[in-house]
Amino acid sequence: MLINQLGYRIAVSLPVLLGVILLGFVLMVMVPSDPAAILAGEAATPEILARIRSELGVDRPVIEQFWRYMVRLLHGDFGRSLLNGVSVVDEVTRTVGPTLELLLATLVIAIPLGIGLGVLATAWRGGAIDRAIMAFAVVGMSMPVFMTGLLLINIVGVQLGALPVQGRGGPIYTVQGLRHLILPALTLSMVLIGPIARMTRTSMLEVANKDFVRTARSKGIGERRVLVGHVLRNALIPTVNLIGLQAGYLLGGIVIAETIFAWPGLGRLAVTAITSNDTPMAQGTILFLALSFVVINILVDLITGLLDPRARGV
Amino acid sequence: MDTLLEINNLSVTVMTGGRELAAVRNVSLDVAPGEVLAIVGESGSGKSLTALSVLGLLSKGVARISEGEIIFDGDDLAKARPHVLDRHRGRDIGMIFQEPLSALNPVLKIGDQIIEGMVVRNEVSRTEARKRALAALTDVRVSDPERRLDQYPHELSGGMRQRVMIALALISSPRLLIADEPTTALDVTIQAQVLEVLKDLQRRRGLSMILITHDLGIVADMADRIAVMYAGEIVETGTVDDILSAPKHPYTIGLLSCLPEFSPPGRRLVVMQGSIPALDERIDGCRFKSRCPRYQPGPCDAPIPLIDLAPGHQCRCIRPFRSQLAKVHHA
Repeated sequence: MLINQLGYRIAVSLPVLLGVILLGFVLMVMVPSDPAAILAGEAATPEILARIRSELGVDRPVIEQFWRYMVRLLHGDFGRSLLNGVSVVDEVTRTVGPTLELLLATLVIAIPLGIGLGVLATAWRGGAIDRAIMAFAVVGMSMPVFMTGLLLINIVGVQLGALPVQGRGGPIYTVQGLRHLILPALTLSMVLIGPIARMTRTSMLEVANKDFVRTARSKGIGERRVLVGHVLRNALIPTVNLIGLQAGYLLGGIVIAETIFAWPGLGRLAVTAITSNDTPMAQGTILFLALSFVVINILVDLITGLLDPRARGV
Repeated sequence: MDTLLEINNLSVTVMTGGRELAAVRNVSLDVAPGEVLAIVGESGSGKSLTALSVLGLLSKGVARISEGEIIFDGDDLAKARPHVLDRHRGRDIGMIFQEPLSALNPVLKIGDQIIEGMVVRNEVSRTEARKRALAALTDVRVSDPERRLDQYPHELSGGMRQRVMIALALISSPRLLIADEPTTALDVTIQAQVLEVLKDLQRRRGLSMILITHDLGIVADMADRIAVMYAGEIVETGTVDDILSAPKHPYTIGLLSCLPEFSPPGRRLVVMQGSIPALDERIDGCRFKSRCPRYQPGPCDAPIPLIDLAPGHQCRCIRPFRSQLAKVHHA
């Protein structure tokens, strides 16, 4: 049943990926820059430029270019960087690890913290704790990633000197690696904590009025168990779905956070490639970022299925 | 006669539109061991609020006990702290709710929901609890009980779910069962089956029970005594025979007249005119007077106490009926 569901999710994700490929292609074609000029450098003669264009195929009709692009993608050929000739696949595989680290750390911080704050706000609803948490959530949601990042760099990194603010310190399981990871992950977490806390609170308050909560209370199992085992257990379903919806913001945030913190990941690679008109590299990174969006949403669907028996079996 | 549960002067208020209005007024009831007390009344009569008060299950911020005491085992449940209530909930007092469709947690397996209370209280091991759940499901005549334990509520029909609720409420062998309209949401045929299960368990276990219903038809079969509620007050209380054969309060008589059993064949069923007064309506004297055929200006406008008519038979009316109501036997 799980395999069926997984297969179904992957199948319905294919059109999304196709759309991303098309969009990435169109965007880079529309950019008024000449890849041949980038490759050839300043001193190139018109003849050299024309030759490079015909080698790249960029002098062909757009439709044909797209067709060739698709055929190459299906063969696993994502092309080479216009800047330094490195294979796009190599660059992506090199940078995807650090990005996954960052993503994982972010989720590990944001999900428990967001849900925890939501539960606290619910338990003390209407009180000072509730208001403080909700205010924090709104501030966190409203602050752009670059601002949170710069604030954290300034306060924690520069003024307190507590944590490193630039680059990656090593693999995630080393102390240096973790120390470098904290600030960028915390910055990104702010994108998620607010929405998760608010959604947890809202859906817990909604679930709290359900009849089955009264049934649970009538069993004499204690208020805490009613709140966590019955109210929260049901309230998690919309919260997990929200995380899937927020994945887009998260990926946008990754691009910014990696740039601010000089994190050697996929997001920074994408920014560099786009700003330097490195078309193949830009298309490749965009495609992989979109792929991770799709993967996150498949995971969210699977987790929803685990949480909610009614959602199982497609 | 010893009592298991004693409710004295219970008043419950509800919040509506920022105002606190009385919904249950000075209700006193008692239940003896092994006795079935039926609380009968229309929607809005306060019968469910009374029942919910016993286990402290009134919705916070919506309704609260404003006065009175609920004595069970020497504890006053009306003022009890949560941990005292939790000591009685499930173990001494079980409860069945009106809506089997929404009364079970949709994301937990049936078996886990049934045994949760037992397991949390460390009454028995998980394996033993599961065995008991299986026995309980068999007891309430759920088909294929072994498989049901691992199913989710949405995989069961309404009647099955209400049986599960009964099993859940009785798993720890409570002494008192509160059944709040246990069959209202079910099909008529299923209703009869579920009632049969309830009745059977009640008799076999000598269970005390408070049966909340608006259906007088099911009362005759199950109850020992009846309390009729109207607009937050008890208007008549007595044994099943008292109430069903010799009702005295015009409201009780009105309720009974609506039943097919009490109207001659071929005649239209009687319909009681009017409706229950709104909570914020100010009424002096008898709360039923606006619908009462025997209303008399003056005496009926002064506060009316519950008047003893016979031992155990009380009526909140100064002009009670004297004659017997004739039950018509349909061929």
